[in-house]
Amino acid sequence: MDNPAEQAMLVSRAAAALAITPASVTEELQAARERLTRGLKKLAEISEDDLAIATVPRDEVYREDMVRLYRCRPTAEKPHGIPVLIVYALVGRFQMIDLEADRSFVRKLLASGFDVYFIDWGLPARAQRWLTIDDYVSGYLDHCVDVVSELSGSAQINLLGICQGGVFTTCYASLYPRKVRNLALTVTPIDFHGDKKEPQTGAGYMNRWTRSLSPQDIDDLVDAYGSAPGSMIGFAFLMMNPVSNLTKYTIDLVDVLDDDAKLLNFLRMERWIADRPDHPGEVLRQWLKDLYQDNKLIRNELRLGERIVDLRNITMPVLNIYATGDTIIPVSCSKDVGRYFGTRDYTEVPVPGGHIGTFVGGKAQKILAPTLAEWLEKRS
Amino acid sequence: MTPFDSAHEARAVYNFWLGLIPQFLGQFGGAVPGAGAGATANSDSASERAPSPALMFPIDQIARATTMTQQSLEALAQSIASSIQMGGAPGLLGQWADAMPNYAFGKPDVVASNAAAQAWIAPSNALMASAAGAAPPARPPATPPGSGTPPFADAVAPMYRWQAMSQPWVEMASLWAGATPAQLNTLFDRTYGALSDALGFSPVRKLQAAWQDLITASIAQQEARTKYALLVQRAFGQGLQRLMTDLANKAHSGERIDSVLALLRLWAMKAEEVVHETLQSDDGLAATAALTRSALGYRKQMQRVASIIADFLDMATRRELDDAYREIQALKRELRASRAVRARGKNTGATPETGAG
Repeated sequence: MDNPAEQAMLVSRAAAALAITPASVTEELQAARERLTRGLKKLAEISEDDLAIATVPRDEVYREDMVRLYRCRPTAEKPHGIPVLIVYALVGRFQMIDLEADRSFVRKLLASGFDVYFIDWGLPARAQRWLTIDDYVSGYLDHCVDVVSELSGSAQINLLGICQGGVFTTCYASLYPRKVRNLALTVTPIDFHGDKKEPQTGAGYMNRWTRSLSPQDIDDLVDAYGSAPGSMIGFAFLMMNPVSNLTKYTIDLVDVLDDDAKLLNFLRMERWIADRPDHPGEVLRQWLKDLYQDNKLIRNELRLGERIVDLRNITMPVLNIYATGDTIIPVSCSKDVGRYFGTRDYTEVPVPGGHIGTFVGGKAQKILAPTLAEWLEKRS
Repeated sequence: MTPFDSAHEARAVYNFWLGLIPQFLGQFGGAVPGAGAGATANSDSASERAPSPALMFPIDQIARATTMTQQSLEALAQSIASSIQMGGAPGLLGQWADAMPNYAFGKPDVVASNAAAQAWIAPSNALMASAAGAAPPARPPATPPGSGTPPFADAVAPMYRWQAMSQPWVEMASLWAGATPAQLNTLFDRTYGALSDALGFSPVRKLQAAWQDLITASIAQQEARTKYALLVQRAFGQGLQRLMTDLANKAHSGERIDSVLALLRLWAMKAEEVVHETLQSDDGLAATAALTRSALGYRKQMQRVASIIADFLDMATRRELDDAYREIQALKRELRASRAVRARGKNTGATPETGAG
C-alpha cells in the first residue's frame, strides 16, 4: 500500500482490534520475564540424563563401516515370528523413533509383541562421499536384512521405511521381493512431482527449489561439497519456516520454559533436530536429480547399480502412512500411489500432524503404532 | 557413538538464530542491551549472563536465547507502553510501521544498506562459511572485498609469505638493472613468466589469477545474498501489511487482542505466510537458485586457491584424497558383488531375484 492516507486509515482500523493498555503491557511482559527467570533456573538444573533420547534397551547385532544394526530387547514373552526392521532417512538420526519413553514409536511396537530391529546409518565422513543409493540398498540394507533373517530364523522380514528410508525400502522391496514379507511406508515420497498437481503454499519447498535448479547445478553442488554438511541440511530445513523459528527461540520460550514437561520435550526435540549427519554426495546427486528432478521412481526408470527399480515387482502387501499436515513431503507426493505398485493388497492411512509429528505428536501416536501393529498382525 | 554426535555443526545453526534475535525483537522496540544488529551469540553481552558457560548442548544455546529475550522484554514493555500512552493503539501500530519503512511502504532501495538486511546476511555468511569449512562457526563472517582482511586470508597466508620470500630477488635484481623495485615488479610481471615457471615461481602468478577470480566470485555472492535478503525483507513488509488487514478484519467482527505476545505471534504467522509465498514464487526460486549458484562459484574458487597452495607445498589435495576414497568404494562394490555370487553358488537351488532390470 503506497498511499500514506490509506495506510493511516488501515492502521487506525487495525488498532481497533487491540485491547492493550500501558498497564496491561507492563504487567504481561513483567510476568513473562519472571517466567523466563524461573525457566533459566530450571535450565541450569537439567542433567544429561534428563535430555537422553532413544533410550530403549537394545543390542548391537551387526556393524559395517559407520552403519549399526540394533535389536530392541523384546518386551513380549513370545514376540511375533516375523521381525520388523525400521529404516530411517539419512538426513536425520534414528532417535526420532524413540525420542521419549512415553512417546516412543518403537516401544509401542514392542508392547504390541513385535521383534523390532532398526538401522543407525551413523555419521558418514568424507570417505563415504562416493556411496550411492545402490550401496545403501544392495549393500548395507541387504546385509542388515540378511542378519535379521538369520537371527530371527525367518526367511522373510517386515520392512518399515521412514521418509528417505521409505524410498530405500521401496527400492529394496522391488529388487529383493522374496526377502520382504510386508512393506510399510511412512511419510515417504513416491511421486516426487505430486506437488505439481496440488501446489500448496508452505509445503514442498524442496521439490520446487530442486526443480528450479539445472542438473548441472546439482552436479556443481555435489562436486563442490563432496558430502553435504549436516549444518547446511539443517539450515535448509529451518529456512523453510524462518519466522516461526524466530518466535520459537524468543517469545515462545515464555510458555515452554514455564512447563517442566514441555521444556524437556522441547530440549529433546531440539537435540534431535540439531543432530544432522553429513549427507553422502553421490546419494544426494541421485536423490536430487533422479528423484526430485526426473521423478524416476514412479516411471520405473531409477537405476541402482546394474538394475532398474521396477515398482511392479512389489507384490507383497504395502501399507502407506502419510501425514495430512506434512510440509516437507507434500501429501500429494505420498498419497494415491497404490497404482504404481504390483501388489493387490495396498492400504493407505492418513495420520494427523506434520512430518515429524507422525512419530512424536500426541494424536498421531494414537493412530500410527496401533494401525501398523494391526495391519502387520493380519499379514504375519 | 553417543546419542548426540554432531553438536559442533548444530551450534553454527543456533548461532545463526541467536544472531537474529536482537534484530527480531529490536524491530518491535525490544532491543537487547549491548547487542547491536548482527551481534552473534558468541560476542554479545547477553551470552555472558547465561546461567553457566559450561551447560550442555542445547541448553546453553536455549539459555542464551532466553536471556536475550528476557532482557529485551523490559525494553519492549517500555517502548510499547510509551507508544500506547502517547498515541493509543494506533500509535503503537503506526510506530511499528514507521520503524520499518522498508517493510510497510515497499522501499526496496533502502533495504540494501538497512541493518535488518545486514543482520540477515551477516549470520548466514558465518554459517555458510562454517559449512564450507572456511572458518569455525564462532568466527565473524568473511569480510567483503575491499573492506579490510580479505576472506580466506588464513589459507592464502603461506602464499603471501612466499611472495615475501621472493621480494629480495626483486630488490637484488633492481640493483643490477638500475630500476626501482616498482618498475622491476612490472617488468617482472611482463617478462618473468617463463623464467619463473622454470624456477618454480609460477604459483604466484596462478594464485594472483585465482585470487582475482575469488574476489569476483565473492562480489557475485554478496550481490546474490543482497537480492535474496531484499526479497525476504519485502516479504516481511508485506507480512506487516497483512497483519494490519487481519487486525482490521478482527476489529470489524468484534474480536480483540489483549496480549502483546499474542500480537507478536499473529505478526509472525502473517509474515511466515508471505515469506512462504515469496520463496515459492518464480522470483523467490530464481533468487534462491542464484544464491546457490553464487555460493558454489565462490566455493569452487576457494578450492582452486587451496589447490594451488597445496600443489606448491606438495600436499595432497582433497580431490586426490577423494580419488583414493572413490577407488576404495569401487573395490568394496566389487567385493560385495563377488560375495553375492559366492553366496548364490553355495545356496544351491536358490533362484536369482527377479527384480533385475
